[in-house]
Amino acid sequence: MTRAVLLGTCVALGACARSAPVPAPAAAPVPAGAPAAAAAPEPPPVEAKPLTTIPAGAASESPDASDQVAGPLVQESPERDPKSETVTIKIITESRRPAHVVWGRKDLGVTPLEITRPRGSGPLDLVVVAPGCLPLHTRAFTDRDDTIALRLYGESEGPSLLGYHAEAQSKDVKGRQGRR
Amino acid sequence: MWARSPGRLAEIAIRGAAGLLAVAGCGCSSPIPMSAPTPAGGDGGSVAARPPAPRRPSAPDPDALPPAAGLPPERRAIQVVDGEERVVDADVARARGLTLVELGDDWAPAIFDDGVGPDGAVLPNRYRATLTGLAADRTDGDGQPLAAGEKNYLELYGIPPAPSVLRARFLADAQRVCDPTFDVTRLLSVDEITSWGATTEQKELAKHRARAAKLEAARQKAGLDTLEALGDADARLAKEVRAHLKMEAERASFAEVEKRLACEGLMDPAKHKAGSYDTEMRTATFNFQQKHAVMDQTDLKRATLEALARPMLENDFLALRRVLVERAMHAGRFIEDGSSTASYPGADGKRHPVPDLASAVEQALLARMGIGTPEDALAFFRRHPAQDFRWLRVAVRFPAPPEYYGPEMRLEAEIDRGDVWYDFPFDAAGVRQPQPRERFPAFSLYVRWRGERVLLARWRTTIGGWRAELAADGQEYYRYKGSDVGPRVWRHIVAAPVWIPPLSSPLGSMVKEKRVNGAFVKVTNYDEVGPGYLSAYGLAAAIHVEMHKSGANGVTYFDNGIRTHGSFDYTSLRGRFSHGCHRLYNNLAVRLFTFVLQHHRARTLGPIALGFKRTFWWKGEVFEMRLPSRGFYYELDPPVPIDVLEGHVKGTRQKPIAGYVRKPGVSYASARPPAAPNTPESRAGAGAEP
Repeated sequence: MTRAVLLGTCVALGACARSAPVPAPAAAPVPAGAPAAAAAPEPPPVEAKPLTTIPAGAASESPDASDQVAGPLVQESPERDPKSETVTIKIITESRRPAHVVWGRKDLGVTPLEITRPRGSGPLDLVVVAPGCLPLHTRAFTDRDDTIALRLYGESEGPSLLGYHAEAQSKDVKGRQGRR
Repeated sequence: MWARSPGRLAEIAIRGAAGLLAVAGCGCSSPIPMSAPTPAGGDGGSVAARPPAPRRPSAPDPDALPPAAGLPPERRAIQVVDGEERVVDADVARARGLTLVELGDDWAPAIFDDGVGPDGAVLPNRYRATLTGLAADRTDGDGQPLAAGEKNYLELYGIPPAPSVLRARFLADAQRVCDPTFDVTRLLSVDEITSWGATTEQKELAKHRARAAKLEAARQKAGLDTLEALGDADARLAKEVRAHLKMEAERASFAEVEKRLACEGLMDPAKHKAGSYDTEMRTATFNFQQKHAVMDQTDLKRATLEALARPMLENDFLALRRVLVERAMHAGRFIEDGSSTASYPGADGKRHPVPDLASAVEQALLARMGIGTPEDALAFFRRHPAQDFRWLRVAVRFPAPPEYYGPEMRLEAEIDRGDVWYDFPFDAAGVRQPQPRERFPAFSLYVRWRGERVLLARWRTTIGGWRAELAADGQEYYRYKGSDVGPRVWRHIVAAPVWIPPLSSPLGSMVKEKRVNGAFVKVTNYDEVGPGYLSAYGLAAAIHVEMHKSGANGVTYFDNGIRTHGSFDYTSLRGRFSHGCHRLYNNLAVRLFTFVLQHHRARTLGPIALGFKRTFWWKGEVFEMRLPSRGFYYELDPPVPIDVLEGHVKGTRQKPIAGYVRKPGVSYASARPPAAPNTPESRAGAGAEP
């Protein structure tokens, strides 16, 4: 869990005001010996491996769906108190640029933020907004304690994101089609 | 009333293939009440697919247990003995070999039960809470509370309504009073009502009025009594007269549909323009079809008209029977639903037919509940307040399982791909070529028994075919998405599986608007990803892997991205293609994999971590998709064999075309199509549900 928090802090160093291309997000940490959940697939055939564990909240940017097939199975790490009635969700963003975390009509507060929710009460679809940054939509799950380390993107950083070019391209294609 | 059912539909498998036919076609030969039942459901006489009246237990009743009082809820069960319901001791029932069928709202199939790890720790099966919340109309697919009046009509998606939902339907429908002019004969005077989009509808109705005026003028001029006589007398007008009369009958039937939908409280007449198939009425029709498991997809076809013609309590009774069958099959740990006509060798040296246990358990359960008619069911729900459905269960004797049952049955599965076409479905001029299939893909489950392979159940499924796919150059091509042929195994079964969309997935489908804590906002769309009934892998899946011997005792497995899985897209099971996977109706997938886990050695792995995140841009904002879990996994030991048969290859090509093929009529920027990825994940989805 701690390693995930540290990673989040590091990732969050991409400040919103920066306009330079953003480096590719780092892979999530996994315990020593644990295979990365989103690692590229081994060339087939894949050997069956024993189960390992991965901490909650350790999300990695997966380049494709390769972990969907042929990847090793990684059991969830045990919870400290799986019978607790509530869960705690920590939301972390770049420390120098506090961001508001909004849940529907309610502003939950400014990051870093801890949210306590009834266990299993359904996910929270959150919008994280900060001056100079693109609004970021994320989801917090209430199945277990979690830490969400968020990387906010500056308004000029859109081109570095998946889908930016596709959207621009599709507009372009539409324009060209319209001229025919 | 606002239903949350998604916008794709079809009809339901009650018991499997056999049950499906029963619902779709039920009522065709049954007598239909000639006048409107008012209040609705008052006429319980004629019913489509009415089961034989259950045998009411009469003395001697060896399975009748003594009444028990003062038991805690977990030890209570009920029985109807000599027409009287009594509470009995569930523990005594178990000791007597009776089966307890849960009627509680919090019941879920065993595949969604929590597991226990080797260290004794609970392995949480988290989707269970969502599943039960959806069934009981408590929550939406995210586990958030439903708004007042909102309903989940999800039976077609594999989530039958909870008993308290049925109770509410029975009690409400028993009170409804329909328009006294509602005429079932008029409603059923056509097989189908033509419908159009809003603009076309106005034009078509105007054309109809103009034709009516023209024909009426011609009739008067000819001095004939009827338009039929005009058609007989004037050959030039005969075709127009026929079309006019057909349309008239359809419009008359349409008016009855309006009355019926309003009567059931599904349509607000104040928001509907009479005679128009407007949004209000389409929504009402859709909800009606979803509620009653009719797969007509807002079309006003025969199955919908017949369901509308039935008294409301009859429809409620059919829903109750479907719910009871589902629960009873799980309680009995059975799979035989009448879809097998095979036989097996018995210890007595004779051959015995594989029984239709779905029918048997339904009859046994209805009899033990004292229910034979909709009115009996209404009485049952009237005597049980909603809170009873926290604990209610029925103690009933089910038929003894056939001899081939045991804790470790030698199960095998097979998929026959049926008729297969590899030819490109367009000719050089871009004209689509017919590729008819007489034999459709079929899934079969077998048990090895006394040297034979005995068929237990056979259902429709899907195979891959020609699908549009977004290539690396950003343009769409056709590609043959085939289903692997040959022996494979199921090694893992997954409850509430998660599907990861490949990078080629259209980003537009990954964002949706949703009500969140009192505001409508854009959110990342997890519907197709899951876990959930709309997941591309449905409510449950088994992963096909190729097993290879490796070294002295080693075994390796290769996953080529193919699964047998449940699907929300039930219409695809009526003849469309998948991306290579073998789809089943969600409820059947859940039933099948629960059965396999109950009769085959398996290890519960529990929730498997995924730790996946994807960040993407959409319309000036940034969205994250976070997938912490792959689903709840079970490991079969040994794996269950599944053989995919090649089927009958038709046409000229005997092997599929590899790579992309240009779509006719599309201009492409590049001289030749880019190379198609040949990775397992590209087989497993590549931009759409597998």
